[in-house]
Amino acid sequence: MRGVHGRWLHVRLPGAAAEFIPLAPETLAETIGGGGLAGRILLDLCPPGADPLGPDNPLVLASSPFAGTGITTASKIAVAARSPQTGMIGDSLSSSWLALALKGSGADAIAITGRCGEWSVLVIDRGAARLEPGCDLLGLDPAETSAALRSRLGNGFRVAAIGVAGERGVRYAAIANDGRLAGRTGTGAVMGSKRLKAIAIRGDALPPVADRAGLAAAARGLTRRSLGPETAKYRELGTAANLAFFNRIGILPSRNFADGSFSGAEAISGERLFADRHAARHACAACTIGCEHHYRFRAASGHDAAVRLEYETLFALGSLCGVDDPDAILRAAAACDRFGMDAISAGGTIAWAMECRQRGVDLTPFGGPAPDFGDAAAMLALLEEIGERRALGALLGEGSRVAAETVGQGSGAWAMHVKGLELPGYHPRKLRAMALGLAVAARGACHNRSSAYEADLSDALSPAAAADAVAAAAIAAEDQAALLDSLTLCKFLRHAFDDLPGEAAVLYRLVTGLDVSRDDLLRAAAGAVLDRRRFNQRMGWTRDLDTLPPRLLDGDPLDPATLDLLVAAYYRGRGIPETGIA
Amino acid sequence: MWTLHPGVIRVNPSAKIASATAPSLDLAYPSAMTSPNPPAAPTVTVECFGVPRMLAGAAVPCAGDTLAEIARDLGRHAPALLGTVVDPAAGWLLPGYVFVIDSAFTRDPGATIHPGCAVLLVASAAGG
Repeated sequence: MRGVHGRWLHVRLPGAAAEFIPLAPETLAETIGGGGLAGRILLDLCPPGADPLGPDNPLVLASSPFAGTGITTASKIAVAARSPQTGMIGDSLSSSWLALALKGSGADAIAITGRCGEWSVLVIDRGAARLEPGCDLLGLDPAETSAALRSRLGNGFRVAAIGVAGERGVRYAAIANDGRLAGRTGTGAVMGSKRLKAIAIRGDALPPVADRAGLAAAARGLTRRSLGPETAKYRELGTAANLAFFNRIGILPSRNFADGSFSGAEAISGERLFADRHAARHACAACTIGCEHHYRFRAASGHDAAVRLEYETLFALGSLCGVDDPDAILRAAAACDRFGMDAISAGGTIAWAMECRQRGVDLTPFGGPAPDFGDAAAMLALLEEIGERRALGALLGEGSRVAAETVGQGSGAWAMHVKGLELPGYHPRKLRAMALGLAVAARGACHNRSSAYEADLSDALSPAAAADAVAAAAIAAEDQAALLDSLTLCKFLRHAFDDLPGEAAVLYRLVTGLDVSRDDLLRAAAGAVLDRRRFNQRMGWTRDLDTLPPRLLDGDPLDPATLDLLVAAYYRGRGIPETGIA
Repeated sequence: MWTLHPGVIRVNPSAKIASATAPSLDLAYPSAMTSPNPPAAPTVTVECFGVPRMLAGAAVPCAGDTLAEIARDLGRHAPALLGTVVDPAAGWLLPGYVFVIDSAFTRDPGATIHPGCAVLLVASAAGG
């Protein structure tokens, strides 16, 4: 099999003893690569009941056959571990040059187990692992950490780093690389629990592909299509374009999902931000779309600054918290990047605290008073407290599920999470397939693992569709996301394909030489979804976890019985028993 | 005028950034509203989002009994959409864009329009 190394690297801490483990071609074909491969390695390596913040929890970073081949957007790493936020599978992807260094390291994936005695940096130099001291890097943000390490080690190294949030165990801390975050489910806290401030990788041993000329031609064609109208939204305005439209159709979560529209939406719309504040547009490593838009804001210091802003950050730190001040939202986005933490969970947990105040639940005994909805200054102060895990931030750094369990007083009723992961920016009231997708997603409420909103926001699904049709749409969306995550292709590229699995199979054959069909890839994608569910079962999943927060099941229009029918239809569609996979 | 990146249409990207910050771009009052040739009998106002909104403004009044007629009229009254959102030859939406009529997403040119219905124009790539 070409396009891969056929082995992964197991690094055992504290000594950084490293061993290459062979990867059978069947395993690679079954999992495709990327998210599928990371999930399989995690499934094989993580013992049942492993403490997410303990030494036994593996931290897996995987590349894919497509990475480093010139296929646009494919330079992504997939990260997997047992999530300290959900207790279930934690997995995340981010695009960066690190993916190319990882692919060039001589291994298709790296899995780290154990824990360092002192804060350290794991250096993997062309496949050889060693530890370097990391204490001097504590307190630095991810960008500063990366710059310091590249200065120390040399420019050939690419760095994944955690910020202060990861050092201090914020359960939704992220792993940052090249300014992008593997953000959801707290893999940064797992890295911090291993006392790894950073992972620096250098490698240039890219494996040869099966058909270089054929692949180059196919990759050029895909690049051309990546510049077409199907991706114009992302290239021109970025994901912030969602906000005004979502507000118009009533699916913009605001004030902790109490509403689906926001009176301040115009002030923070993507179109308005672009007109007033656009500073620059960037692309991830090896990407021709270039969806990353940066916006100007006035920093607390009084200086002008600019920060990357995505829709999910915009909604979570904006409408969800009732904040309509663009400067405050951009400062908050910068704070999340600086501390290295997931903006969706940070905003979702703060919104829970704001609702506590609204409902008269006093959080002062838990570290400090909660702010009112719309109090931008207090939101910014809370983000600092969360990042440093002090005052009320110590509680909110646990996420909304644990915070609500700690506080009690009925506050679980407005903790907007699934399996402990805060909901993304799609109000599911009007989105039946998305509601189901969020309920059953293995990593919790996630728009990237279940992009079922696509069925709702199209003519593919009638509002009167039966439960089995809704389930089929949710399954198809979940499988498509798993396919893209395993190929490590950007989801923004999906509409550039006429037949994603069919065309991806052609690319896969050109890269690997394996005679893989579109159906083979679809089976592998579905297998990756089932691997995640198997992992969750091992960690204590029960059917009642495949649900939505009570607020969304109040009969307007979803109620518990209706969701139950949808979830049952999902299991039928997947061909798995309700009690779990045998 | 706000322009698109190369790949969609041929423009100087640096000009785009400069013009994007110019005060002449007013999202609330689209150029089509002040067009010298407003439709004689507008039946609906097309609400634009994302790229269409940056090019044509937030709302464009259009006349037509079907979506095909609305799309053609849209091109007439918001020419900035031609070649980027509306195919000038076909008079219909380019791939990547979709109408929403009274909450239903559609690219059916034959879909009928009744006065007063809500017609939205948005990228078909939902979410992100």
